[in-house]
Amino acid sequence: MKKALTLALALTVGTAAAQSAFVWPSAWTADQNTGNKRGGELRLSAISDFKTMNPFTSSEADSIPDRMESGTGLFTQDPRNDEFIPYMAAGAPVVSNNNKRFVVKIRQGMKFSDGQAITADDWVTTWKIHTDDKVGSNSYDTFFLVGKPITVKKLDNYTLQFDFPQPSASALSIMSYAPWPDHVFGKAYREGGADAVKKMWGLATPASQIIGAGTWIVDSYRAGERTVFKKNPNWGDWNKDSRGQELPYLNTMSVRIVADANASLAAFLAGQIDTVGMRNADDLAQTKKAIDNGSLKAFLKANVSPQATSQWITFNWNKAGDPAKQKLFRDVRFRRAMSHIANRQAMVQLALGGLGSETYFSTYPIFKQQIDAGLAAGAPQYKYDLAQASKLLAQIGYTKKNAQGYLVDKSGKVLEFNLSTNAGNTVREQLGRIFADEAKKVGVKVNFTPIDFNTLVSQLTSKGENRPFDAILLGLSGGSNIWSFGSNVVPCGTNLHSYNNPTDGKCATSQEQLMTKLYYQGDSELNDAKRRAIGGQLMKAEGELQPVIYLVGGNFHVAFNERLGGEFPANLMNAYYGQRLNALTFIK
Amino acid sequence: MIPFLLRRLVQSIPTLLLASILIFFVIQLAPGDFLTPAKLNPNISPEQLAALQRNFGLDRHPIEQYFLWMRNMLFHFDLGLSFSYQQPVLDVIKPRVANSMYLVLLYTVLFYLIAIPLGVFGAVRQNSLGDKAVNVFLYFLLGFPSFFLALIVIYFILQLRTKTGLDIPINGMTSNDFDSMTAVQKFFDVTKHLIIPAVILAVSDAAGLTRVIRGQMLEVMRSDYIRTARAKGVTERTAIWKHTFRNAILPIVANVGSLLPSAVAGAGFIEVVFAYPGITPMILDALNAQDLYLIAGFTVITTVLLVIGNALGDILLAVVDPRIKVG
Amino acid sequence: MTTTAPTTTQKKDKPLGQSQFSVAWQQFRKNRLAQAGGLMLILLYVMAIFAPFIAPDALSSYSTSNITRFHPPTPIQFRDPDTGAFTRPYVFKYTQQLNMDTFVNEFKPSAERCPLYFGVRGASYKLLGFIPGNLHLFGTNKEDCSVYLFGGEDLGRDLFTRTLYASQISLTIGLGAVVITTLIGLMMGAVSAYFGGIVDTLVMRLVEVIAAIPSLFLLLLLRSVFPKDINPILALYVILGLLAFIGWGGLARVTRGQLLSVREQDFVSAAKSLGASDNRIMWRHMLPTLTTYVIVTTSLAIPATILTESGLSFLGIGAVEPYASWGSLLKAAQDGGLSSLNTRPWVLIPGFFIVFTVMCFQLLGDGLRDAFDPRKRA
Repeated sequence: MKKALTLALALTVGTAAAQSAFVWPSAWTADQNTGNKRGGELRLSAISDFKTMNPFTSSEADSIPDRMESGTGLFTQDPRNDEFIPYMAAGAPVVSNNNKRFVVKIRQGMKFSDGQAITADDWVTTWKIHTDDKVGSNSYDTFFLVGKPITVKKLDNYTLQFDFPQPSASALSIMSYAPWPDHVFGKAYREGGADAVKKMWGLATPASQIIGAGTWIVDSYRAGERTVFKKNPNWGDWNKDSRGQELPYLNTMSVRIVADANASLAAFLAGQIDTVGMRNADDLAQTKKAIDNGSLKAFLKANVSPQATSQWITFNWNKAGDPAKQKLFRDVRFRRAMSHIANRQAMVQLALGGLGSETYFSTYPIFKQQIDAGLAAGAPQYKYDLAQASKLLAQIGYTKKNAQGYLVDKSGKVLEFNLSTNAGNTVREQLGRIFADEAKKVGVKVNFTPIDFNTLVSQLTSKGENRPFDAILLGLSGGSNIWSFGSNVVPCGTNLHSYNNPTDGKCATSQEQLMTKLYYQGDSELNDAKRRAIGGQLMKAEGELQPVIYLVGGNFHVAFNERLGGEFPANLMNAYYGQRLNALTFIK
Repeated sequence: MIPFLLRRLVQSIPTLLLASILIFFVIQLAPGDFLTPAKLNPNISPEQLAALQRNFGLDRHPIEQYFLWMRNMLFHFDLGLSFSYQQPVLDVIKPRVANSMYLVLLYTVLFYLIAIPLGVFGAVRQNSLGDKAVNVFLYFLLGFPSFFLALIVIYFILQLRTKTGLDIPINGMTSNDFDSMTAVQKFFDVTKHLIIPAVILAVSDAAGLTRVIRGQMLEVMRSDYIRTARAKGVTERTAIWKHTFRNAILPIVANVGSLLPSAVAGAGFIEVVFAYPGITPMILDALNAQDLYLIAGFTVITTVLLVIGNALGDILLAVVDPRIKVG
Repeated sequence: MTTTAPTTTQKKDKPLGQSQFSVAWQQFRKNRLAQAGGLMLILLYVMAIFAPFIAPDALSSYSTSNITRFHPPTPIQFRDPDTGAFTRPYVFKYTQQLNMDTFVNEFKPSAERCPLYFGVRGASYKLLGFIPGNLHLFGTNKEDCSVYLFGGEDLGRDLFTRTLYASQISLTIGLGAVVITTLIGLMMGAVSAYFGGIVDTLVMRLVEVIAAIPSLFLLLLLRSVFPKDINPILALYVILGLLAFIGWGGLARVTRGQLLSVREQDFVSAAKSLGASDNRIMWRHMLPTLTTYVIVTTSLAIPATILTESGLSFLGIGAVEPYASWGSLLKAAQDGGLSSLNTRPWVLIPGFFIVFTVMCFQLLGDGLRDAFDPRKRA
């Protein structure tokens, strides 16, 4: 009798949980799984081997914990309008204390893959371990705002309270970190501290001990070959499609390690993996060829959006050892002339094989709303125009050319500087080559050398009055569409404020001060439209100052094997959101 | 034998020491360290970088790091912790080395299977058209940088796959459904993946050994005792295989010891091009990432194996050639 | 192994008193393959020396307005398409457009003809680094309509020109590194054998250490010590030096072994008993016995070094832009992946230069080995 009662109780809890499931909007896919096709494997590839399964020590760009974190987070961004909607949260947060305190109710009935309930403790423990500097988590900094900590408190088992040191536009995004099981990591942390956590979940750990809250959990790992994820059996309890079916449809997801991008393309063409990033026109041409000759059945769409990356040239303003160069690099006319020299069209044609976008701002062209706000605010673009460049250089005092055709100043000194990029990156080497060769046409001597990546980075991030470089060509990626300006890039004194980084970290120009002010103003502005308008002002100041010359970016193309269903509708596909959600993907 | 081994052991100490010092400090001399790329990460603050530096021991003086490492190695048999894997070096290396060994083993077998008959053939039919053709062909293959040859082969496999529909593996070591296979199926699956890179390696390297065997055979064939044997009426077949060949491969047998370290050092570029989970891709990654202890630990292992291999070679030589004494 | 020592006995067999070299030369002349290899190598080196003159273009010239990225090879036409009569050789000017359906940048010959001339004036250069000139063996005299014998590469530069310039680097690195390797190897081996004791131990331990670390990794490690922002030409010297540093061990060991074994041989004991000094014995009696060994190993080590250099270029630490080696050109082709094989196979041509050169060196070295070794003569 007693037994039957517990069973009945469990049943009611189960239905209660089912009622509170998150329903994935049908608009998130162009290809509804109306036939309810279930099972099968999504086959992916990665270029470098995974290094750990531990979410607190992982520092890779693509990692096992990263992949296990998909399908978690208190809030999730709706690709239709970029807005955050409650996901693991039961509803919108209750905001108080001048937008600094957030009280969040957690959705009930969610379970880890081992069957333990997901509760407030898991979020608190995860936050605690991430912010212990002895652990060395890569996410450490995300829990701080301008050096001040964000705190997470448990009010009851299903209620969390977040306290921010100041209002932040990214608050919902910051709160949406993945919870890791308190009964695994919290236990170890309480018993053995940071060291105990660091020792956990290495690659040799049996997959059965790896527990997660997200869509996928590790099924098997073979060093240097393949990692197989299987679906979390408890995830479907609270994730349903619009017809009430449990998600994900797939049974497994495998990630095969390949030598390089060419090898992953080969594997895709051979039908061994289901999708691959198309880097350039060559990749597209190969895929198209395979589709046309019938050896591959695949979906292919070119130029879906620009990539979320930038390539730029920065000039060093801190050259106490060479005052002439410092004066030159600090002259806004010189930098505008350099932007006029950058033949972005040729760069797209030659270095990117014809498929790419010209860029003029630190904001990636994919963040179209922000770019539009910038252009509306009057942010200038100094386009390719050698005559204009010559005119600007003449204003600085370079009017004469020497026998070799290089511009010289009054004392006969040639207008020249060194430009470096990281060796081994073919696209950047070509961009640099083209820039140098175009500069030669107006008489500027650019000594372009690809150098070691590590050396380059230490030069770029060096601080002081006499930093060891003239100009560097490099790229950045990452950043969000909430506030698309880099916290480490725009404000004076930060690591990647690459053009001006003196010992005291002070701004050198009023525009920098304005940009720094606008950065923090925008970062704490919660209204999207107002924030974008602030961003537009920032872009205008940045464009006029032209501290960094932005060049070009590649385009994002989509290709996947036709056995996959459940991709995004065409208007949702882009470099930021990708081509699909794994949860809604199924095998036809 | 025992005193010989003991002396070898003593002699190997300076080699090991020198190798560890060389590697350790060369890595330290290179600009930057494991944490340099983190500096370009917009999400990592200077405070966090400093904390990581402390955690990895990168804030200590290199000499101090070296002695700490040495102490752990000598007293605890601990080669250190890989920065990027956050695991003991030995654990990280072990599966990779094992994979490399399969490939190198198969390659070596194929290598001898190709080189020995061709070398003997070259000597028996010295300067014949066949000898010359083999010669030119092997040198032609030798000229291909292995990464280039592999690219061409991958292209042709792709063509073949589309034409025939056969499931010829392009890269890796196992098929997707490997885990659900029986032991026998597993064996064949791995072999299927190994065979292409192993053949490429064996064929493109065969020129060297073929020429050595050919030379050795010629040398022995013209020696007095073979002449005597022939005069005594031994058949040509016996003269070649029993008398000549046996003596000709003596130096090659002695060289077997050197295979030991090369088995661990991996098969080189071919592993990279075929995405084979051997040691080479991992060490190249480690070099790029400046994963100090992983590189240094690996070097220590190859050095130890070289020392053992050399000693083994000397012993083998003494076994096959009674004129040489170990000692 | 005692492979080369008995060459001295050969001397006694020849009553005419021919020198070792003239005997070898006679043998070598019988080996057609080796001769062909040697001849081709001479041609390659001549080609490398006169590269700027033979090449129709400068090392790194391309246009940002007239895109010639992956321009196909331009066949040289000899007949007038209208009349069919022979005319001055010419090439067609090509137009290009990215086909947005196939994503291939398509080049089509236009009607415009660009005649070829011998001895045109073009980009200026310095032959061997000091003889200035601007005369080119052939060319079109037109800016926007060049001849592309081997097609264009990824920036649209003439691949034929770049292959020729690259041969300068590839052929020098191979030769230079081996010369230095040989010098170091001989010296270290001799020092080791001569002094013995602690010096011997030290040198031999160093040889073991270098042998113990997989050479690819050692090269990469050592290269990383040198800053990468050094002048690209200097960087090549660094690579050359590193290749030499990696390679000397084997030779030193053999030298030492040979010298030690020669010391025990009759003619050295004879010289000693006749009162020759140690120095004299070393230079007059011991080293010459090594010549054959050195000639043979050198000719076989050069191609190995050329291959190693291409491997380093594959990993991105060989020749640096705008300079090129065959290896770096091949790496660029490799980066293009499958497209390099099926849409623009001409970018693989530099690879075949490597294959061909290595083969020639091997054939030559083989011939030399047979020629110098009396027991291998037919």
